[in-house]
Amino acid sequence: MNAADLIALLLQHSPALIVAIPLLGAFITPLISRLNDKVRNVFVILTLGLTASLVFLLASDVFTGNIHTYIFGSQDLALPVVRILFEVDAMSAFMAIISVILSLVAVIYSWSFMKENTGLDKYYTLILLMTAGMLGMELTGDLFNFFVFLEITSISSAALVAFWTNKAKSVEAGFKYIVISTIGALFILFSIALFYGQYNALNMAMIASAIQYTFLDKIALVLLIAALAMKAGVVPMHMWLPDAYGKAPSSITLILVGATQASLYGVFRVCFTIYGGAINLSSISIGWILVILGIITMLLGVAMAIIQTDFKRLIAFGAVAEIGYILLGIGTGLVIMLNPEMTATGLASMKGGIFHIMNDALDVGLLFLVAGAIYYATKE
Amino acid sequence: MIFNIPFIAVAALILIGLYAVIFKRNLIKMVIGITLIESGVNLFLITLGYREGSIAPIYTSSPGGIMALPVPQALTLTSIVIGVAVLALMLSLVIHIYRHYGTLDVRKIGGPEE
Repeated sequence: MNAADLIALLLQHSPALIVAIPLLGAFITPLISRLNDKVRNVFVILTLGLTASLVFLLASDVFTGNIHTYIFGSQDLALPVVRILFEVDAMSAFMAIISVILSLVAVIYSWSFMKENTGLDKYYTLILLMTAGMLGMELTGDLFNFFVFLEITSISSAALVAFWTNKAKSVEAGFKYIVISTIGALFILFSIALFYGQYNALNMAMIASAIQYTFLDKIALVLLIAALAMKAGVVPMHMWLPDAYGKAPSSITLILVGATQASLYGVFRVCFTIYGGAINLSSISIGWILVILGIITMLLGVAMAIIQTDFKRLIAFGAVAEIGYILLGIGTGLVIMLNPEMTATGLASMKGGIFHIMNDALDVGLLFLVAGAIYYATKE
Repeated sequence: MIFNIPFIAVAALILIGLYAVIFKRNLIKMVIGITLIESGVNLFLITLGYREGSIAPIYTSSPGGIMALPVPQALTLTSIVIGVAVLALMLSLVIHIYRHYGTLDVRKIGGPEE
């Protein structure tokens, strides 16, 4: 087999491999940790590097306009067998690039930042699990699968937020985070049940093609948006975010930024894929709600940042404000995109929102790394 | 089904769970509230797949007649497994909180920085 065939084969199976490699790596990490600490660190970096290169390979093909679909289960679509589909479009690939780069940077950063801690085999295992969960959330095309990966992400990130168990505040922040994210995930499961009861489908595209926008669909929309906004830290439900961001190790905070954005990606998917055909000019109130929430988030995040004395909490409130900007982009897009005279403006605001996801990942992530470096130098 | 009792039970479980999470002051009671919400959602999934007079979906020893839909049951099993993991993690965090503060009352936990 020559190199071109190998790359084609890797490209064909890359959606599955991108999730499978960190997942398997997570379970091998404790074994390798028995050998040597340096070998383990190199192994984790190599695993994430391999995942990152596969993400880039997949993204380079998706950005030329091909949407990749990967079928787990029976390949014969005529059979009425339940199967899980991974559907990768440009938005998924974009988010996957951001998540995998954040994880890779966090792992390289932890090499010296965490070297005085014990229990690092569990730490690296959880980081790999969390990465697998985030990437799965972003690549999947199946709603129940989305819920499962969301839970994998929240369980491992809550355990990582509470990693410094000798500090009371860290444990408290971890408990807050797991309570909030579990309740959010259960809301999502409830709305999945509502969809399944009505349309007999779990696939996002099938639900989107069948959706009627009935009363039950409106309840499901409210539950989905509320749960994902809760996980993203939008203002009425933002209480966990400064604690979790402020008390977690800095390398973990960097990946938490990615996990938050995976939830925001969920908001995009719900608004524009599942309800994309159903939301019309008579039902744009959900867009207005998102706009108002976004504006409150921006104002309150910045206002609360001014009075903070703790450096990491200050940046965390800045991160809350950034989430507001992204949400404002989504909401404005929803409100005015369907108005035929303003479609271009709506699309521009959406592009701004999506572009700001990348800015948020870079600036907030780097600020947290700086905070971690200051902590490392001063130990305060 | 008589008077849609399973659906009423779902609503009751979820509302009691939410009440416990929001208003109870004891961390263990909050954890119990979350498991109640989870049981409510699981019961909802199971109820959606059930039709009156249907039997368990085991193909090899079926006496005939209609079968309950197996997909919601598979979803529920997955959800139960996830629920156990979340419960274990929450209780271990509660143990750590108790070690640090010596209490489980949310009003006495936290307060000013170290």
